[in-house]
Amino acid sequence: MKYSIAVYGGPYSHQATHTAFHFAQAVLDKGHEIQRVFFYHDGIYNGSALVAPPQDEANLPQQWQQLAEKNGVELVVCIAAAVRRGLLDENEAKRYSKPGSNLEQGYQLSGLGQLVDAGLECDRLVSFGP
Amino acid sequence: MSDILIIFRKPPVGTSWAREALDLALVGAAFGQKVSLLFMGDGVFQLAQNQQPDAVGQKGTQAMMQALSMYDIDDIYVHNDSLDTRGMAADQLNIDCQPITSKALPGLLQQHKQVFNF
Amino acid sequence: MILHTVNKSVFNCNTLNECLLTTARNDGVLLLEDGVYGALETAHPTEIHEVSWYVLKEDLLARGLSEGQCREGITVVDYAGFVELTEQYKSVCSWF
Repeated sequence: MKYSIAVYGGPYSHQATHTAFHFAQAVLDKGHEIQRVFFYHDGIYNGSALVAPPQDEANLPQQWQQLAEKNGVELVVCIAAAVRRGLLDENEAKRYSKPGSNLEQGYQLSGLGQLVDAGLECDRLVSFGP
Repeated sequence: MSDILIIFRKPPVGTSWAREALDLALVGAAFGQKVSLLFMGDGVFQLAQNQQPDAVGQKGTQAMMQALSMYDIDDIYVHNDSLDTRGMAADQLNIDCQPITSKALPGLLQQHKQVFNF
Repeated sequence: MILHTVNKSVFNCNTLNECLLTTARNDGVLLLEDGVYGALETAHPTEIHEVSWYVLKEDLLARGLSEGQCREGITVVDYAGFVELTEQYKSVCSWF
Protein backbone atom coordinates (compact mmCIF):
# COMPACT_ATOMS: atom_id res chain seq x y z
CA MET A 1 0.00 0.00 0.00
CA LYS A 2 1.00 3.61 -0.51
CA TYR A 3 0.99 5.73 2.66
CA SER A 4 1.48 9.37 3.49
CA ILE A 5 1.93 10.81 6.96
CA ALA A 6 0.98 14.25 8.30
CA VAL A 7 2.72 15.68 11.38
CA TYR A 8 1.11 18.63 13.18
CA GLY A 9 2.93 18.51 16.51
CA GLY A 10 6.22 20.26 17.21
CA PRO A 11 9.30 18.16 18.01
CA TYR A 12 10.47 18.23 21.64
CA SER A 13 7.08 19.67 22.73
CA HIS A 14 4.67 16.90 21.83
CA GLN A 15 4.95 13.16 21.33
CA ALA A 16 3.43 13.45 17.85
CA THR A 17 6.78 13.47 16.05
CA HIS A 18 8.04 10.38 17.90
CA THR A 19 4.80 8.52 17.30
CA ALA A 20 4.77 9.47 13.61
CA PHE A 21 8.38 8.38 13.22
CA HIS A 22 7.84 4.98 14.87
CA PHE A 23 4.72 4.48 12.79
CA ALA A 24 6.64 5.37 9.62
CA GLN A 25 9.32 2.81 10.43
CA ALA A 26 6.70 0.15 11.10
CA VAL A 27 4.97 0.97 7.80
CA LEU A 28 8.25 0.52 5.90
CA ASP A 29 9.07 -2.68 7.86
CA LYS A 30 5.79 -4.12 6.56
CA GLY A 31 6.96 -3.52 3.01
CA HIS A 32 4.66 -0.59 2.28
CA GLU A 33 5.67 2.58 0.48
CA ILE A 34 5.60 6.03 2.07
CA GLN A 35 5.16 8.69 -0.55
CA ARG A 36 5.34 11.79 1.60
CA VAL A 37 5.59 13.13 5.12
CA PHE A 38 3.82 16.49 5.29
CA PHE A 39 4.60 18.89 8.15
CA TYR A 40 1.96 21.45 9.13
CA HIS A 41 1.13 23.66 12.14
CA ASP A 42 4.01 23.37 14.69
CA GLY A 43 5.11 20.18 12.95
CA ILE A 44 7.07 22.43 10.59
CA TYR A 45 9.82 22.75 13.23
CA ASN A 46 10.82 19.21 12.27
CA GLY A 47 12.42 20.83 9.23
CA SER A 48 14.77 23.08 11.16
CA ALA A 49 18.47 22.62 10.48
CA LEU A 50 19.21 24.53 13.69
CA VAL A 51 17.78 21.92 16.03
CA ALA A 52 20.51 21.05 18.55
CA PRO A 53 19.27 18.55 21.14
CA PRO A 54 21.50 17.20 23.95
CA GLN A 55 23.81 14.32 22.91
CA ASP A 56 21.60 11.65 24.48
CA GLU A 57 18.42 12.78 22.73
CA ALA A 58 17.38 11.98 19.18
CA ASN A 59 17.89 14.59 16.48
CA LEU A 60 14.42 14.29 15.01
CA PRO A 61 14.98 16.37 11.84
CA GLN A 62 18.00 14.23 10.99
CA GLN A 63 16.13 11.00 11.75
CA TRP A 64 13.45 11.96 9.25
CA GLN A 65 16.10 12.95 6.76
CA GLN A 66 17.84 9.56 7.03
CA LEU A 67 14.58 7.66 6.79
CA ALA A 68 13.57 9.71 3.75
CA GLU A 69 16.88 9.31 1.97
CA LYS A 70 16.97 5.56 2.50
CA ASN A 71 13.38 4.94 1.43
CA GLY A 72 12.66 7.60 -1.17
CA VAL A 73 10.18 9.52 0.98
CA GLU A 74 9.37 13.19 0.27
CA LEU A 75 9.65 15.51 3.29
CA VAL A 76 7.36 18.43 2.55
CA VAL A 77 6.91 21.41 4.87
CA CYS A 78 3.91 23.72 4.41
CA ILE A 79 5.40 26.94 3.13
CA ALA A 80 2.81 29.29 4.65
CA ALA A 81 3.04 27.65 8.08
CA ALA A 82 6.85 27.59 7.88
CA VAL A 83 7.53 31.15 6.75
CA ARG A 84 5.24 32.55 9.46
CA ARG A 85 7.16 30.59 12.10
CA GLY A 86 10.62 31.52 10.83
CA LEU A 87 11.57 28.41 8.89
CA LEU A 88 12.99 29.51 5.53
CA ASP A 89 14.77 27.97 2.58
CA GLU A 90 17.24 30.06 0.57
CA ASN A 91 14.60 31.42 -1.79
CA GLU A 92 12.30 32.58 1.00
CA ALA A 93 15.21 34.05 2.99
CA LYS A 94 16.09 36.10 -0.08
CA ARG A 95 12.47 37.06 -0.74
CA TYR A 96 11.99 38.39 2.78
CA SER A 97 15.54 39.78 3.08
CA LYS A 98 16.40 37.59 6.06
CA PRO A 99 19.98 37.04 7.24
CA GLY A 100 19.93 33.28 6.66
CA SER A 101 17.96 30.18 5.78
CA ASN A 102 17.42 27.23 8.14
CA LEU A 103 15.59 24.49 6.27
CA GLU A 104 17.30 21.13 6.82
CA GLN A 105 18.66 19.34 3.76
CA GLY A 106 16.27 16.83 2.26
CA TYR A 107 13.19 18.88 3.15
CA GLN A 108 11.28 21.08 0.72
CA LEU A 109 8.84 23.95 1.27
CA SER A 110 5.62 23.59 -0.71
CA GLY A 111 1.94 24.41 -0.58
CA LEU A 112 -0.90 22.80 1.35
CA GLY A 113 -2.01 21.28 -1.93
CA GLN A 114 0.61 18.61 -1.25
CA LEU A 115 -1.40 17.52 1.80
CA VAL A 116 -4.64 17.45 -0.20
CA ASP A 117 -2.84 15.50 -2.91
CA ALA A 118 -1.46 12.99 -0.39
CA GLY A 119 -4.98 12.33 0.86
CA LEU A 120 -6.21 11.67 -2.65
CA GLU A 121 -3.27 9.82 -4.18
CA CYS A 122 -2.34 7.51 -1.31
CA ASP A 123 -4.19 4.48 0.00
CA ARG A 124 -3.79 5.82 3.52
CA LEU A 125 -3.05 9.22 5.03
CA VAL A 126 -2.34 9.03 8.76
CA SER A 127 -2.09 12.25 10.82
CA PHE A 128 -0.30 12.86 14.12
CA GLY A 129 -1.38 15.92 16.10
CA PRO A 130 -0.01 17.62 19.20
CA MET B 1 -20.37 11.96 -1.96
CA SER B 2 -17.80 14.61 -1.16
CA ASP B 3 -14.11 13.94 -1.25
CA ILE B 4 -12.96 15.74 1.87
CA LEU B 5 -14.53 16.42 5.26
CA ILE B 6 -12.79 18.87 7.56
CA ILE B 7 -13.85 18.81 11.22
CA PHE B 8 -13.39 22.01 13.24
CA ARG B 9 -13.23 21.30 17.00
CA LYS B 10 -11.10 24.10 18.42
CA PRO B 11 -12.32 27.56 19.43
CA PRO B 12 -11.12 30.60 17.45
CA VAL B 13 -8.46 33.13 18.49
CA GLY B 14 -6.61 31.10 21.17
CA THR B 15 -4.70 28.99 18.64
CA SER B 16 -4.05 29.04 14.91
CA TRP B 17 -6.09 25.86 14.30
CA ALA B 18 -9.15 27.68 12.98
CA ARG B 19 -7.14 29.56 10.40
CA GLU B 20 -4.98 26.59 9.40
CA ALA B 21 -8.01 24.30 9.02
CA LEU B 22 -9.77 26.93 6.88
CA ASP B 23 -6.63 27.29 4.76
CA LEU B 24 -6.81 23.56 4.08
CA ALA B 25 -10.50 23.83 3.15
CA LEU B 26 -9.85 26.62 0.64
CA VAL B 27 -6.83 24.86 -0.87
CA GLY B 28 -8.78 21.60 -1.16
CA ALA B 29 -11.55 23.41 -3.00
CA ALA B 30 -9.04 25.25 -5.20
CA PHE B 31 -7.69 21.79 -6.13
CA GLY B 32 -11.12 20.92 -7.47
CA GLN B 33 -12.17 18.75 -4.55
CA LYS B 34 -15.65 18.74 -3.08
CA VAL B 35 -15.07 19.89 0.49
CA SER B 36 -17.54 19.63 3.40
CA LEU B 37 -17.07 21.20 6.81
CA LEU B 38 -18.31 20.08 10.21
CA PHE B 39 -18.20 22.32 13.28
CA MET B 40 -18.51 20.44 16.57
CA GLY B 41 -17.37 20.75 20.17
CA ASP B 42 -15.68 24.08 20.86
CA GLY B 43 -15.35 24.48 17.10
CA VAL B 44 -18.88 25.92 17.08
CA PHE B 45 -17.45 29.03 18.78
CA GLN B 46 -15.82 29.78 15.42
CA LEU B 47 -19.35 30.48 14.19
CA ALA B 48 -20.11 33.17 16.77
CA GLN B 49 -21.24 36.54 15.46
CA ASN B 50 -19.54 39.83 16.33
CA GLN B 51 -16.05 38.41 16.83
CA GLN B 52 -13.53 41.25 17.19
CA PRO B 53 -10.14 39.54 16.97
CA ASP B 54 -8.48 42.92 16.39
CA ALA B 55 -9.14 43.60 20.08
CA VAL B 56 -6.28 41.16 20.75
CA GLY B 57 -4.23 42.16 17.72
CA GLN B 58 -5.36 39.34 15.45
CA LYS B 59 -6.71 39.24 11.93
CA GLY B 60 -9.23 36.50 12.68
CA THR B 61 -10.90 34.14 10.26
CA GLN B 62 -14.10 35.99 9.44
CA ALA B 63 -12.95 37.05 5.96
CA MET B 64 -12.03 33.45 5.14
CA MET B 65 -15.38 32.21 6.44
CA GLN B 66 -17.17 34.63 4.17
CA ALA B 67 -15.08 33.40 1.22
CA LEU B 68 -16.20 29.77 1.60
CA SER B 69 -19.17 30.14 -0.74
CA MET B 70 -16.93 31.66 -3.44
CA TYR B 71 -14.97 28.41 -3.32
CA ASP B 72 -18.20 26.42 -3.67
CA ILE B 73 -17.93 25.12 -0.13
CA ASP B 74 -21.62 24.93 0.68
CA ASP B 75 -21.93 21.72 2.68
CA ILE B 76 -21.30 23.22 6.10
CA TYR B 77 -22.65 21.30 9.07
CA VAL B 78 -22.90 22.29 12.69
CA HIS B 79 -23.50 19.76 15.46
CA ASN B 80 -26.69 20.88 17.19
CA ASP B 81 -25.93 19.35 20.61
CA SER B 82 -22.59 21.22 20.65
CA LEU B 83 -24.50 24.46 20.00
CA ASP B 84 -27.09 23.67 22.71
CA THR B 85 -24.42 22.88 25.30
CA ARG B 86 -22.79 26.25 24.62
CA GLY B 87 -25.98 28.29 24.62
CA MET B 88 -25.81 29.09 20.91
CA ALA B 89 -28.57 29.01 18.31
CA ALA B 90 -28.26 27.73 14.74
CA ASP B 91 -30.01 30.83 13.37
CA GLN B 92 -27.54 33.21 15.01
CA LEU B 93 -24.27 32.14 13.40
CA ASN B 94 -21.86 34.09 11.20
CA ILE B 95 -22.36 31.80 8.17
CA ASP B 96 -25.18 29.57 6.94
CA CYS B 97 -24.86 26.06 8.36
CA GLN B 98 -27.01 22.96 8.34
CA PRO B 99 -27.63 21.65 11.85
CA ILE B 100 -26.75 17.98 12.19
CA THR B 101 -27.83 15.62 14.97
CA SER B 102 -25.51 13.31 16.91
CA LYS B 103 -27.26 10.39 15.27
CA ALA B 104 -26.25 11.59 11.80
CA LEU B 105 -22.57 12.20 12.61
CA PRO B 106 -21.27 8.65 11.95
CA GLY B 107 -22.94 8.64 8.54
CA LEU B 108 -21.38 11.99 7.65
CA LEU B 109 -17.86 10.69 8.33
CA GLN B 110 -18.45 7.47 6.41
CA GLN B 111 -19.56 9.46 3.35
CA HIS B 112 -16.15 11.05 2.85
CA LYS B 113 -13.01 9.53 1.39
CA GLN B 114 -10.74 11.63 3.59
CA VAL B 115 -11.45 13.21 6.97
CA PHE B 116 -9.18 15.94 8.34
CA ASN B 117 -9.79 16.64 12.00
CA PHE B 118 -8.55 19.80 13.71
CA MET C 1 -14.82 1.25 8.52
CA ILE C 2 -12.74 4.10 9.95
CA LEU C 3 -9.89 3.71 12.42
CA HIS C 4 -9.97 6.60 14.90
CA THR C 5 -6.85 7.40 16.89
CA VAL C 6 -7.14 9.37 20.14
CA ASN C 7 -4.10 10.83 21.92
CA LYS C 8 -5.67 12.70 24.86
CA SER C 9 -6.50 11.43 28.34
CA VAL C 10 -10.22 10.87 28.85
CA PHE C 11 -9.83 12.15 32.43
CA ASN C 12 -9.14 15.76 31.49
CA CYS C 13 -10.22 16.10 27.90
CA ASN C 14 -13.41 15.59 25.93
CA THR C 15 -11.55 14.39 22.83
CA LEU C 16 -12.38 10.70 23.23
CA ASN C 17 -16.06 11.39 23.87
CA GLU C 18 -16.23 13.70 20.84
CA CYS C 19 -14.65 10.94 18.79
CA LEU C 20 -17.21 8.43 20.03
CA LEU C 21 -20.05 10.71 18.87
CA THR C 22 -18.88 10.13 15.31
CA THR C 23 -18.00 6.43 15.34
CA ALA C 24 -20.09 3.88 13.48
CA ARG C 25 -20.57 0.25 14.44
CA ASN C 26 -17.72 -1.10 12.29
CA ASP C 27 -15.20 1.53 13.33
CA GLY C 28 -12.16 1.00 15.52
CA VAL C 29 -10.70 3.27 18.19
CA LEU C 30 -6.97 3.11 18.88
CA LEU C 31 -5.82 4.82 22.08
CA LEU C 32 -2.26 6.13 21.86
CA GLU C 33 0.05 8.61 23.62
CA ASP C 34 -1.90 10.11 26.57
CA GLY C 35 -5.01 8.54 25.07
CA VAL C 36 -3.96 5.20 26.63
CA TYR C 37 -5.30 6.39 30.01
CA GLY C 38 -8.73 5.86 28.47
CA ALA C 39 -8.01 2.12 28.49
CA LEU C 40 -7.93 1.96 32.31
CA GLU C 41 -10.67 0.10 34.09
CA THR C 42 -11.85 3.25 35.82
CA ALA C 43 -12.30 5.12 32.53
CA HIS C 44 -15.86 5.16 31.32
CA PRO C 45 -16.01 6.71 27.87
CA THR C 46 -19.50 7.27 26.47
CA GLU C 47 -19.73 4.64 23.76
CA ILE C 48 -22.83 5.16 21.66
CA HIS C 49 -22.21 2.60 18.95
CA GLU C 50 -20.23 -0.52 19.70
CA VAL C 51 -16.69 -0.14 18.35
CA SER C 52 -13.55 -2.25 18.44
CA TRP C 53 -11.06 -0.97 21.01
CA TYR C 54 -7.28 -1.02 20.70
CA VAL C 55 -4.48 0.45 22.79
CA LEU C 56 -0.85 1.00 21.78
CA LYS C 57 1.47 -1.19 23.85
CA GLU C 58 4.54 1.06 23.68
CA ASP C 59 2.55 3.98 25.10
CA LEU C 60 1.26 1.82 27.98
CA LEU C 61 4.81 0.70 28.83
CA ALA C 62 6.20 4.24 28.62
CA ARG C 63 3.64 5.35 31.22
CA GLY C 64 4.15 2.46 33.65
CA LEU C 65 0.86 0.83 32.76
CA SER C 66 0.37 -2.88 32.17
CA GLU C 67 -2.06 -4.78 29.99
CA GLY C 68 -3.64 -6.13 33.17
CA GLN C 69 -4.79 -2.63 34.12
CA CYS C 70 -6.78 -2.26 30.91
CA ARG C 71 -10.53 -2.70 30.60
CA GLU C 72 -11.76 -6.02 29.30
CA GLY C 73 -12.33 -6.11 25.58
CA ILE C 74 -9.43 -3.86 24.63
CA THR C 75 -6.86 -5.36 22.29
CA VAL C 76 -3.24 -4.37 22.95
CA VAL C 77 -1.28 -3.77 19.73
CA ASP C 78 2.32 -2.75 19.06
CA TYR C 79 3.43 -0.49 16.20
CA ALA C 80 3.33 -3.40 13.73
CA GLY C 81 -0.23 -4.03 14.90
CA PHE C 82 -1.02 -0.33 14.46
CA VAL C 83 0.07 -0.59 10.82
CA GLU C 84 -2.06 -3.73 10.36
CA LEU C 85 -5.08 -1.83 11.68
CA THR C 86 -4.50 0.92 9.13
CA GLU C 87 -4.43 -1.77 6.42
CA GLN C 88 -7.64 -3.32 7.69
CA TYR C 89 -9.70 -0.12 8.10
CA LYS C 90 -10.47 1.98 5.02
CA SER C 91 -9.22 5.29 6.41
CA VAL C 92 -7.75 6.81 9.54
CA CYS C 93 -9.14 9.79 11.46
CA SER C 94 -6.91 11.31 14.16
CA TRP C 95 -8.36 13.02 17.22
CA PHE C 96 -6.03 15.30 19.17
